[in-house]
Amino acid sequence: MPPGRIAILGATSTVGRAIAAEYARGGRDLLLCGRSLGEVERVAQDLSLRYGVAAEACLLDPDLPDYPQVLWRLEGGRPLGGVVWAIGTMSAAAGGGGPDEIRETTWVNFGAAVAAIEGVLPAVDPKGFIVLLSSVAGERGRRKNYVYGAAKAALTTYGQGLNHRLAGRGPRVTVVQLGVVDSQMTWGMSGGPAGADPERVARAIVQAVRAGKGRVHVPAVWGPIMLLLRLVPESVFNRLQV
Amino acid sequence: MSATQAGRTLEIAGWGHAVRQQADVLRPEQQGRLAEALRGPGIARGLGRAYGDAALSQGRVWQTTRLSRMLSLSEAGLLTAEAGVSLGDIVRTFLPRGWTLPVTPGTQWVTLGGAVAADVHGKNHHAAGTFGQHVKELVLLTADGQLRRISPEGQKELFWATVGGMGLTGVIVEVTVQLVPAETGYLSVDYVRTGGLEETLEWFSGHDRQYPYTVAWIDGLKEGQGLGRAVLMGGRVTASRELTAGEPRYPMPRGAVRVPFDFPKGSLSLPVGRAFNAAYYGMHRPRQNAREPWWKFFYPLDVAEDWYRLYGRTGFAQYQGVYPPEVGLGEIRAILRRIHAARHPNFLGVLKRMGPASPGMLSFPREGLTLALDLPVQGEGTLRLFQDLYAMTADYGGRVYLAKDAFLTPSMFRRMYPGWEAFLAVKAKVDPQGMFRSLLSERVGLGEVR
Repeated sequence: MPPGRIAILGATSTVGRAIAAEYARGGRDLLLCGRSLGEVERVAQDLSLRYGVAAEACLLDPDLPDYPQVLWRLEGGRPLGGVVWAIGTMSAAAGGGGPDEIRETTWVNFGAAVAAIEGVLPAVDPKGFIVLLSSVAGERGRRKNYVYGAAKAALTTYGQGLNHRLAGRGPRVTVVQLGVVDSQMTWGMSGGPAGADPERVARAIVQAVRAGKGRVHVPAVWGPIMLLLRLVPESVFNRLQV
Repeated sequence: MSATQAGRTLEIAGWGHAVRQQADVLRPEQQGRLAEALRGPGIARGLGRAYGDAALSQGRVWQTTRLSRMLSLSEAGLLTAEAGVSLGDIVRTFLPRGWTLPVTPGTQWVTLGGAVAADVHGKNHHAAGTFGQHVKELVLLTADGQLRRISPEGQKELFWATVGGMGLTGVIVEVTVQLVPAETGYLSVDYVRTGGLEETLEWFSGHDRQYPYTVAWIDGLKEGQGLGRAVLMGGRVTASRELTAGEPRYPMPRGAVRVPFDFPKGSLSLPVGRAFNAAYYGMHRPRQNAREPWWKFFYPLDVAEDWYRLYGRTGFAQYQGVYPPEVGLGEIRAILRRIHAARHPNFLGVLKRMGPASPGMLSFPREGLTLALDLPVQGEGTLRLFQDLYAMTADYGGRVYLAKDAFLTPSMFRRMYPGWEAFLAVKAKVDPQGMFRSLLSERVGLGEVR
């Protein structure tokens, strides 16, 4: 892996923080970005204290698409070893909502990611990597969160296309299709399966990146689950309470 | 990143699992989020190791386990960390660098916030005092939504109401505690076996002072001549020159096993208790200078993650009392006999001589002997037994530990904790609406602010 820092976009999200910790444990220096600088600084302090790595906090607002330039400047022209997109939002209106909710859900989960990655791409070492945290919600639309799911499906497709474009000529792209993780996002959702432990999720993601996988289900059990769900015919699916 | 923070309706329990309560549990991962979630009434909760109902509420529960970022360690060993960091996490991180906790309770699965709120003590209480006495500064989120930085010098009253205050002054958000150097991660331990209570207390009348860490495991079920027989342990941190070359200086813990299900009712019966206690006594032959890793000496029960399940669905409760220095043989014997008279099984009896009291208004430790016994909850009989033990304890001028307690009544509480009035005076100032309340505070009459 190239020596540059690893940028975590969304370092205060549950999985973002866990991935940052996993790389810090492996001795990697970090650039941690998030939209609340105070909170990102706490994560940076924590990881440098625990693992003795250099971790810098940077402010990032996914609503302002000029931040890739900020990253570029911060690195002073030195290439990043990798970039992890760990920002996502699921509002109560993830399955619909008014124009504002729809704009927020589709922008943060998809548009902002594309703007960020396209912008930051020139700053990433060609032997480095890009991770996009997508979701199994993007694999089959369901009533509870289909707007969110549609945005994540778009993100997955974007990641595939980027992987195709960069194959052999640029950083490797790994699209992570996350199942349910025990996170800030899922905490308030009663019922449903118990979420996976973020630390184990992060370990699996870092392993998949190291193995150069283009697409991976984490936890792995979601691979077969989603395969089955995709195969269920509409007439049956529409009667399922999922 | 969702705009509003949702709680989760969960049935939660104290560690003894004798008390369960449904609550709206919030688990913020960012400090800013905690203040948003502060619509009470409710109580903060860490890793849920309080045995009774101290971290249960009918309203909200703010679970702090993901507010677990360590912020700084000074060259002098002053650690500042968020209150959701566990003590085990601290030892794992800093013991290999030669620093450790000044005071640790018998489990590593306690958060910093919980350690402060219960003003926990450990095997070195006679030498080092309580955890709270090593805390230099706290950040407390109070009912008005303010983050207050408080220290024993600057905000004496609020500080000592918060240390030992069971979370009733606000949510502890950050803790600054003085770590102590540790030459190695081992303890050199002397084991002494006594034949009866007299001999046990004799050891605690002076022999214990040569060790920084002492504790006695006491057979709470042995009657007659052997009543109060015990395995005494006195330990000190092993010096690095005592290690053999190539030996790891700071051993790390092994993974814990899990208890996969609740044991059926009656598993821990009187005969099982007798057999267990006899086996434990038999196993610990007298030895000098036995070397034990930090983890094994301080956290022997942490090898089984969910050991409360051994007690079955109805759970267990712990009686832990501390008595003034003049209380001795007769009184301890009377307490053990009261338990024997009830034909009540008990396990893991612990006896220790404590040092001077902490300034915490509701802190448990005070000078004298402390006795702790785990008792499976077996209906009315257990409750009657506890009420009798409370009365005896109060008559002796002692008190029971709120972090362990499940059944104490308001009148007994006031007899045992004369600091309650001073505490309520502080609470009336920082929490006039009574936002911070737990089942414990309501049960002992600390919920109502006048």
